[in-house]
Amino acid sequence: MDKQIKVALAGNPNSGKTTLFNELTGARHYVGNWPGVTVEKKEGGFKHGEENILLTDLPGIYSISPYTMEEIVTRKYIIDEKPDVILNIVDASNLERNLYLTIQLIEMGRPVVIALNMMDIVEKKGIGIDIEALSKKLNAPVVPITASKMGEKGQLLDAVVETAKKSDGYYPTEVDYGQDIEKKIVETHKLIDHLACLGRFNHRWLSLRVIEEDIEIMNLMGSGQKAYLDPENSHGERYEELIVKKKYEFINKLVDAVVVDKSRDKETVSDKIDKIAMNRYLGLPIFILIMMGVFAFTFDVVGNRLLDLVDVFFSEILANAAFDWLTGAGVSEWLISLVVEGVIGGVGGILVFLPNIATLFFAISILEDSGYMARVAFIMDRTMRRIGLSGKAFIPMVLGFGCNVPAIMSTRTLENKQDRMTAILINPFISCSARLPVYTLFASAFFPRNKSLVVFSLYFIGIAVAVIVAFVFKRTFFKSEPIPLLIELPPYRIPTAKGIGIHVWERVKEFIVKAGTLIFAASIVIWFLLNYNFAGPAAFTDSFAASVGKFLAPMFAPLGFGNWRAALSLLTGVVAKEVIVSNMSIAYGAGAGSGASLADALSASFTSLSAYSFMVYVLLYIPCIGVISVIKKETGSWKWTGFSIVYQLTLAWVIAFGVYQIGGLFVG
Amino acid sequence: MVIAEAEVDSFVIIDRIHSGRNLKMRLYNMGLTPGVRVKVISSEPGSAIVISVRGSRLVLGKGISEKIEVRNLEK
Repeated sequence: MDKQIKVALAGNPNSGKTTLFNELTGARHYVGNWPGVTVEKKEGGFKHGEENILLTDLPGIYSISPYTMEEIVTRKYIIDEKPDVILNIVDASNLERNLYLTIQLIEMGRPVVIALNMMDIVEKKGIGIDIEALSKKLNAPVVPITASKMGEKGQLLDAVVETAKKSDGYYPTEVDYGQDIEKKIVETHKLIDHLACLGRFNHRWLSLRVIEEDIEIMNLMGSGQKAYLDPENSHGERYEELIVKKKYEFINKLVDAVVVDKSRDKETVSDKIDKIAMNRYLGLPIFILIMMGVFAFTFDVVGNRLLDLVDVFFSEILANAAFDWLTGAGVSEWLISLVVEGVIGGVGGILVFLPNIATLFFAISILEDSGYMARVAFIMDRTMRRIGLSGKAFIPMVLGFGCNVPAIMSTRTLENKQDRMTAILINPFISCSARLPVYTLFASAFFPRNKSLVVFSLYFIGIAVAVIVAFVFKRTFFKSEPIPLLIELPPYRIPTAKGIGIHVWERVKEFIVKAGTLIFAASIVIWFLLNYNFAGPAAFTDSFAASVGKFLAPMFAPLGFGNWRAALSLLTGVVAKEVIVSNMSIAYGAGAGSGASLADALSASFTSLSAYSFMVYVLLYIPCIGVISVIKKETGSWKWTGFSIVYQLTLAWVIAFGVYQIGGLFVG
Repeated sequence: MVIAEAEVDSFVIIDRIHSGRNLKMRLYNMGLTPGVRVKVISSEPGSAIVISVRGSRLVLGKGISEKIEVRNLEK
C-alpha cells in the first residue's frame, strides 16, 4: 500500500513536458541535481486515489544515444533507477519525430505509457489520429491530453497506475530490423550473454547497442570486446546508421497507418511569423526592441510603481510601527536598533526590489515559453560566430539577466567544452537581477532624470565586456572552431498563465527565502560589526566594520569611492549582490524611519561620477557566492573558479578606474 | 550539391552526410537520414538555414549545411 509508484517523465524538447509536469505535481516539486552529472533534476510526489506517485522529470531529448549529456543522463536514470513506468509525452502534431524516442524507450524494456499531447492543435489542423490503432501497434496505453489546459488528469494517471501494477510481464513492441540485423542481434546476444555486468539491461536492447558500438556500453564491457563484433555489413554500411533508418521506416509505416492527414510541409503560422522575426535584416532590430521592451516593462511600466509602494511600507509604515511598539514595550535601545535598523533596514531594503525581480522573471519566462529563445540563437548566430561561439551560446546570456546561476547551468546545452568554458566565464558580466537594486538606488539618487538610460547603459557595458572577453578567450585559452548551430525551432505558443506563474513563483520564493535567511543573517552580522568594536558598543565610525572598510577604502580611492561604507558594502556584496544595498541602508541608518532617505545620505559621500563608477564596479566585480559555487560545479575546476574571481576583480577595477578618470576630465 | 545551396521552398532528398560519427548520428537521430525528403524553409548566403524535416523545423548552421549532400526532388 505504501509503496510509491516511480514514474519517469520523458519526451522531446518542446513537447510540453514541463507543462505536464507542473500540471501533475502543482507546486509540490523540488529541484535537485543528478548525481555525478550537473543536470538539473526535478521531482514531485502526489497522490492519485490511494496511490503515491513520485514523478521525475527527465531532460528533454530526441533519442537515447550516447551523443549528448542529457541523453546519457536519461539513459542512466532508466537503467539504474528502473522506474515502474515511463510516462512518455508525445507531441501529436509532430508524431514522426516524437515516436522515434518512444520506440527507443519501449526497446529499453520498462513499461511505457504514452501521453499524446497537443491534441487541440491536431484537431484544429483537421488531422485525425486513430489512437486505438496507435496503442495496439505500440503495445502501450495511449492517452490523448492537452497539457496546457488539462481538466482531467484522471485518465492518464489511471493508465499509469494500471501499467505499474500489471503483473503478467511486459512485452514491448519489437521493430523488425530485417533479416541481416536480426541475425546479428541473435549472434551478439550469444556473445555477451555470459557477462554479468550487463545483467540489468534488456537483452534485445543491449544487443542492439553493442551492434551500434555504443561508447558507454562498450566501456562497460571493456574495450577488448570490440574486436569480434563487425560494425559494418558486407556492403560497408554501418549497422548503427542502418538501425536508425529501420526505426524511421517502422515509424513511417506506423504514422501512415494511424494518421489521416499529413499537412507537415504546409506553411504554418509559425513559419509566417518567422519570415519576419528571423528575417536577415529585421531579426536583430526586432530582438533588440523586444529586449528594450522587457526592460521598460521591468523598470518603468510596472516594476518601479510597485517598488514605491513596497518601499513606503518598509521604510515608513513597518519601521515606524516597530519602533513605536518596541519603545512602548520598554525594550532596550540596542535591540530596537537591531530590529529597526538591522533587520527591517537590511531585509526590507532588499525586499522592496521584489516587484522588479518578479516582473523581470515574468518577462523572461514569456520569452522562454513562447518559443522565441530558439530564434534568438538563430538571430545571434552570425554575430556570435564572429566572436567564435555559436548562436546557442547567446541563450545563457539572455537568461543571465534574471540570474547567473541557472544561466551558467544552461550552458550545458553547448556541445563543446571550449565554448562551454567561455560561456561560463563571461556569464557573470551579464547583469543579473540582484544587481538591479544597486542601480535603481544609485540611479534614482544621482540621475533622477536619466534613470532608465543610466541603467540601460550598465546592461550594455556588461554585454560589451562579455563579448570582448569571449573574443579574447576563444583566441587564447579556449581555441576551437565554433560548433555549428543545430537547434529545433518549436512552433510559437502562447504561454500559459500557470506555466509563467509557476516559473515566477519559483524565483520569487527563492528571493524571499534568500532575504529571510542569507540577507537576514548578513544584516544582523553587519549591524553588529557596525555597532561594536573590541571595547564594546561603539559609534559607526569606530566600529569593526569601519576598520575593515577603512583598510580597504584606499584601494577604491582612484575609482572615486574611497569611503569606508562603500568599501565595506562591496566586501559584503560577495554574499549576494543585494547585500550591498542592505549594507548601505544599515550603514547610513536609513532604516530608522527618521525621514532621512538613503538616497539623500548617499549624496554626501558620492558625486554623480563616482556613483556611476561605483555602479560599473558592482556590475563587473566578483560574482556572488552562489555563482562562484556554480562555476566550480560546472567547470569542475578550482583553477578556473579562482581565475574567474581574480580576472573579474582586476577587470572591474581597471574599467571603473577608466570611467572615473576619463569621466573626470569632462565633468571636472 | 549540398543543402546550403538548395533554393528556398524547394524539396530535396538527402543522399549523404559527410561528417564525423558524432555529428552524423546526432543528425540521423533528429530524423535527417539518407532518403528523407526535406523542405528548405529559409536560406541566405553566409548564414544558418532553416529546414522542415519529418514535421519539425531545424536550424542548421553553416558548418552543417555544407556537409549534407542532397539532390533535387522533381515537383
